[in-house]
Amino acid sequence: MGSHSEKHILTTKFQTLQNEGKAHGINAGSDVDLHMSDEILNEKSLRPMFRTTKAWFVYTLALSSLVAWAVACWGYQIWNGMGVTNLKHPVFWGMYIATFVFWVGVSHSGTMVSSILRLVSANWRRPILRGAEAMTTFSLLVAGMFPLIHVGRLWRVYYMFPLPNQRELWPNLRSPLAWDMTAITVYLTASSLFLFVGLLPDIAVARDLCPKGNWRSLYLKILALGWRGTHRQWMIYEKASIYLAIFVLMIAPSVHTIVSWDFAMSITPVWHTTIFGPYFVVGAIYSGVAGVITLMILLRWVFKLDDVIKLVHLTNLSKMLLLMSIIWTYFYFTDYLVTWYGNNPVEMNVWEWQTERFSLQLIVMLGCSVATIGLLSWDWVRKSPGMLLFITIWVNTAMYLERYLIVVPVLTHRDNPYTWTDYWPSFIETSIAVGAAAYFLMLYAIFIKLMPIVTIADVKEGKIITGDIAIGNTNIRAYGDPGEH
Amino acid sequence: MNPTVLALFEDIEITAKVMKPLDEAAIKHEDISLLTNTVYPNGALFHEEERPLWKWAGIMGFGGLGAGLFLAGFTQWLMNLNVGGKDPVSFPVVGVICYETTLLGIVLGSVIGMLWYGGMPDWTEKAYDPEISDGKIGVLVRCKDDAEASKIEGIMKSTGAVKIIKGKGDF
Amino acid sequence: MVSWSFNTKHDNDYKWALVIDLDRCNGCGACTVSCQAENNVAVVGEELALQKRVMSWLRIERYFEGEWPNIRTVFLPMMCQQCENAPCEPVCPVFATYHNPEGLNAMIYNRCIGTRFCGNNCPYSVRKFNWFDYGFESPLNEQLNPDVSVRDAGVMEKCSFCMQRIRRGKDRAKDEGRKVQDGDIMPACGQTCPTNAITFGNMHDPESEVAKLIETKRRHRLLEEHGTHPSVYYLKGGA
Repeated sequence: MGSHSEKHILTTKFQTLQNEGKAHGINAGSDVDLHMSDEILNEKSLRPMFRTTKAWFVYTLALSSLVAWAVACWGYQIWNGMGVTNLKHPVFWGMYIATFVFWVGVSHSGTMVSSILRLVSANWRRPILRGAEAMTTFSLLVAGMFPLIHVGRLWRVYYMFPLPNQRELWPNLRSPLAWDMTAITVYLTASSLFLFVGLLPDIAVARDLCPKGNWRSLYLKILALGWRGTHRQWMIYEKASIYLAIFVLMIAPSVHTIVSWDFAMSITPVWHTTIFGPYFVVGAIYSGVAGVITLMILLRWVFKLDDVIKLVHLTNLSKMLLLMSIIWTYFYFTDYLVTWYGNNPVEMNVWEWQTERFSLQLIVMLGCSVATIGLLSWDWVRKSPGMLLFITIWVNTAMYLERYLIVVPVLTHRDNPYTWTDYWPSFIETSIAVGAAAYFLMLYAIFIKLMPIVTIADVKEGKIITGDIAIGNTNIRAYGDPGEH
Repeated sequence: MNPTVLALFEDIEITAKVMKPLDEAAIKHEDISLLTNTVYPNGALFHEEERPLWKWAGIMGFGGLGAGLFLAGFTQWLMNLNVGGKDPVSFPVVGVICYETTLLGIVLGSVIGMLWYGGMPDWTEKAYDPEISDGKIGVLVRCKDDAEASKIEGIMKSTGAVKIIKGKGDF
Repeated sequence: MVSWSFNTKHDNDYKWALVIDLDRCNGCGACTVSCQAENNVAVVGEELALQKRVMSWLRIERYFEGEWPNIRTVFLPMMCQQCENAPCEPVCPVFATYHNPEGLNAMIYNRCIGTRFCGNNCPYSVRKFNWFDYGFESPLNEQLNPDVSVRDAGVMEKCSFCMQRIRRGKDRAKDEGRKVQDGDIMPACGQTCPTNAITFGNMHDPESEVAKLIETKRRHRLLEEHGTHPSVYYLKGGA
């Protein structure tokens, strides 16, 4: 299995095909381009991986410096103690926990897009699966850092793991934090495996088309695990993909429910409510879908993947976003209505405090709901990548604020009025949170250079099972049902 | 080691026509392999048996369930500390932990089963051509001896193969 | 499912309780100071105190009732209520806090990893966290109580009903071959209170002072609607 000839990846062949008018897709409105040959598809999908521009280096270097600064801040925090944050009694949890929950929420992107769309056989899912699954894995890696960052004695955190020891000590599995640890470990493992399994055929393509002498050839050869594309391998691959889609789909809502139970299981006034489970899951899917749209728009623009990740993909994702927006607004309204009607003095006081102290954040968050539902109902908004970028960034900002407004206000105004106080994040906390976001983007940028960012095999499958049916004087696009392989 | 013949075709329709002469030459289906860059429906060339991936997923799932019961049930029963009057072993806690560990078991089982049935990882020299990634469809035949290999080569050429590779790598 | 009775009502000879007479408390704060001295509680300094990082295990909460000029001040000494159904206990992932058979909520400093969930779950907000390694500058370090550990940065701490005094009292009683009698053990706060507002003792001993005070009409507990069953009773009903 040697590497293919050098001519392939560089522009020569692509230029020839472009001159012959075979390079660009026709049927711009449909989700699969039947006239795009496999060679062109490979070239377009692998170009982001093999061709690196200076801009990428500048971008990644900038992100790395933010990450390095955040790591330095974290080291400072470990050395000096948690007091370098603005946390105090009784605000024991602050920005770190809010950021943790936010990133676990963003991780629902891959699961929802990849698993759900695969299981309902939505044919337009094909090119975006890889981007979404990578988002899931990396956001979980970032989320998993935050319990470590927020813990008081990081060097003893192994106490939480069930490691047999001669002191006969064991973690407390009745604690929601122990469930948290289990759930996030399971989800991280499952989504990494899901990402890797999906990557196998595409790594094989990259291995075959890797220019001679490229440094990537060694790890591509190893990671492809000897994939040849025999029919037996494809059959078991498809079966495993379906299994993984089903079971990762079952894991994902449970993970975010368990994270929500960090709050709901406590007896703190605003937190102790049964709606948190589904509310957080819905918020997570909302956040995740918005994140996928943002990343897809940026990928299309930066790597010129307009012909592969087409407008119709963004449009369909934005319909999902509209649906999630409506559902999230419904959940928020229900949570608020029940609290307001119940008239519990502590909870009413927290709400008053929230409207007074966090009024701007509330406006941004609730305004986002109204704007999203209002704007996304218009066809032209759904077809405009610029508008979608604006809306999805607003959505993720609103979701971050939502997590923050769940964690902080009630802790500052609790049952005991003597302890009422105020809290705002310190410079260290903000640095670390920004550094974590930079870390996510950096991991993603590095991933684009290591692995194909488009699910090439899936797009090719789409081409095979798609056709045009003539009905009377017109044609319609038809999708075949592969059925049992 | 048996000689192999790998023939590359442009299109699945042309490829499918090769089955009739291969059947007439009495080549067994387990000696024929279809190499493609994407998944084709079962039966595009010939019908393959499904592998029982559910066995792997099921067994590892039960293993996960057992691990969960052990962790949330047995160890908590042994480490019996009074925390807020809560029962040391209770349905909600055991349920949550077992749910997660069972799903982990199923996922691990599916992946390991896929690698097992797919014969991966296998980095030895196998019959393959990188043009398959560019859209060519490969038919790989394992022959008893060189004479049969030449016969197969003839069949492939007459059906319309664009490239024939003989004897390089394993089946 | 599998259930054991963790009911400490009848299972044990001892169940420690504290009774605080709010009609006697004049808010002098001597109990706070003595608790600090007895339990090696860190001194944080003025700046950190303004940032709500005071480490004192026992605080006097001051509330004003009524409108000017008819204002009444209420002083409420607040410390760990040693709840029977403590909400802080089940949420600790490492068993750093648990309920001991004598009805106390025990805190194990060297097991704590500092997730701070217990602090969030306490409705009385009595738990404190060591945000820094405060240290005891000379000559404060000469005043440290050798019976009590000095806490590291990153661990939670709270009132323990002067567990070291309870242990000493029980040891002495065991040496003398008898059970602990009423008055043998007194926590630092009760020892110092000038108005005798704090009474400590064994609830399961019907002859003890606390058992008798708990039976009076003036007694109530704080935030009972949370179902925490605290072991600290407050007496209030006077003018």
